[in-house]
Amino acid sequence: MTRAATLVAPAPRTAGQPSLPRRIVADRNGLIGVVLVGLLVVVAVVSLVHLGQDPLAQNRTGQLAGPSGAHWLGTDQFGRDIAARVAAGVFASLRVALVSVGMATIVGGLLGVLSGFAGGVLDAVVGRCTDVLFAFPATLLALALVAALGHGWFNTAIAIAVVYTPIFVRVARGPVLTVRESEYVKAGRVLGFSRSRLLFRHVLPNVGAPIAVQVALALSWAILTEAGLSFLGLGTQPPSPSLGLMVSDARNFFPDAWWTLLFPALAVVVAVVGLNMVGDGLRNALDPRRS
Amino acid sequence: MSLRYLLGRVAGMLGTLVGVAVVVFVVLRALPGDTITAKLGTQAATLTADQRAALRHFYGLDSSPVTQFFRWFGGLLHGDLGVSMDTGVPVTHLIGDALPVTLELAVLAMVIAVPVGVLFGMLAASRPGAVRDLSVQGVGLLGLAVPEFVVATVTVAWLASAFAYTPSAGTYVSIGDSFGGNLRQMLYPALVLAIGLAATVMRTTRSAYLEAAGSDFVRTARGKGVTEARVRFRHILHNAGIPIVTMVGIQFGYLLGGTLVVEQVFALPGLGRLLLDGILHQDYAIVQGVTLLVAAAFVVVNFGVDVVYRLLDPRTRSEGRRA
Repeated sequence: MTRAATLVAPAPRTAGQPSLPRRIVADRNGLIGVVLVGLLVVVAVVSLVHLGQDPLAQNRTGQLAGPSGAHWLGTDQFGRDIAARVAAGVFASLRVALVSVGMATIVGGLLGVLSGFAGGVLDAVVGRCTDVLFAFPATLLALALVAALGHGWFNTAIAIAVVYTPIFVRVARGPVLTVRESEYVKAGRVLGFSRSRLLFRHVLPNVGAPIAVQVALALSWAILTEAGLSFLGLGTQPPSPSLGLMVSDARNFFPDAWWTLLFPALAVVVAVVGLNMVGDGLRNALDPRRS
Repeated sequence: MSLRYLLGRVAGMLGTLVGVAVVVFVVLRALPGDTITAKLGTQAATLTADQRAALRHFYGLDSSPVTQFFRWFGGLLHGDLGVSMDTGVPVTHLIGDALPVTLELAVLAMVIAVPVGVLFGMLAASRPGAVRDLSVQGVGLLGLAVPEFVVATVTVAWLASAFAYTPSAGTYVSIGDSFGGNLRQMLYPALVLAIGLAATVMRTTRSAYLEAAGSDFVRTARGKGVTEARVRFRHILHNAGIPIVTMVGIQFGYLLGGTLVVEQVFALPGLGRLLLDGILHQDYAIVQGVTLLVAAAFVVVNFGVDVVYRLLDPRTRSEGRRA
């Protein structure tokens, strides 16, 4: 099939249609987003293997030095290499974001699909619980949970996961209600398929699209929240590198030592913009009206 | 809007509020550490077992969690949020002092953000896909993506170098003391908050405006020769108003719990700082009180938005269920 043909005549969503990654990259926003996020992932992986500098190594003689050949992004108040710390901070942010959103997607998605599919008491109970969690402004709920759970990256991840779980419940439940009444599920029921087969083979694959978009947006919110909590001293604890903490430390040295603030802040912005654009790209790629 | 619908919604809201109280209590009961140790610091080590038990009894920490919940909840209904363990001051007094600061900040940020967001949203939607649209959208995305704590930090550093002004909690001037002095302290934090808000309002306005601009009555208005400005403001914006009003209301609710970072950086004695201090000092009563108040305010604001929405949109009046 030529490219022009796919553009003119929307192909049915079966064989012959470009794969999902291809369709995301074909969208301009999606492409920019994938590049930005890919860049960050590379940075995070590099930080894992510690190319060059140790993010914790202090240097008493080279404090608050500007960008140079030895330290590409300069050094902080303890003479630590900013580039290495930003890279390690990106890794820490992505770890919190992936773990928290992973938990929220699995728990929230399953609860949403199950309650939408089963209906009845389960649906009512899950619905009331999500209503109560929705009653809290997101930041406030994350903060209260972190206060209760204590510091550390995993507790931050749990707090963010709890905030996002009800969102995934709603995003998953809505389409299930429609799909449940569709012809093909009714046909499956008539053919005597088991409930679990209907659920996993027929319903789940068709609610993936809205969940995928929500995952990208949730990841960007998780990164912002993790950075904010660390900035307030409630997330990652020093001396571990964290983007929020780096900005907080930089307060005392800005604007003279601008590099201490600019680079960690830039990393957060790139992550959030990138993930948002991936979300836009996904939405466009998954929208059957625009394929 | 039927009375029956309204009563049903009020009952639902009260149920949610009770649920909120339960969540706040359960979550904050799990706070790590012993509040008595947190309060007395190193002195706690010198307490005898009897003294410790007496203190636990005094703060009501020795009864069962269920008893503690009902005691706390009963107090809530009488407007009693408990006493700060740190200072011995009733939490209602602390909140009473802090709430006006946060409210003023939120209102000021809204006053700045809504006109900016609506106008830029209209500008972007006036020619979708054009340079103006893409640039407004790009700036809007940046406004959402640059964290508040970065903007706040840079602003404070700039104020310090340009005006030798450093915010500090001791010098807060309330609006009653001096209007100008108060505005000097509140304007910049409000501006920082307004950036993200304006971006959100802009996005909502843009999509609502685009949707309304495609309707038949707009084509009719243009066809009968209504001036372009009148079409834009009277016909399109008027009909795009409902989603915008809804979004502004929801954002206002968020703002009550979302001024924390800005209050912290600008050293303003609002609810956010009170909450943060409570968390850092493990002062449950404060954390419970503020969290509960903000969540309750959020629920009530959302309820208000829902009711206003139904009043504004005749199409939703007849239906008894939530769309």
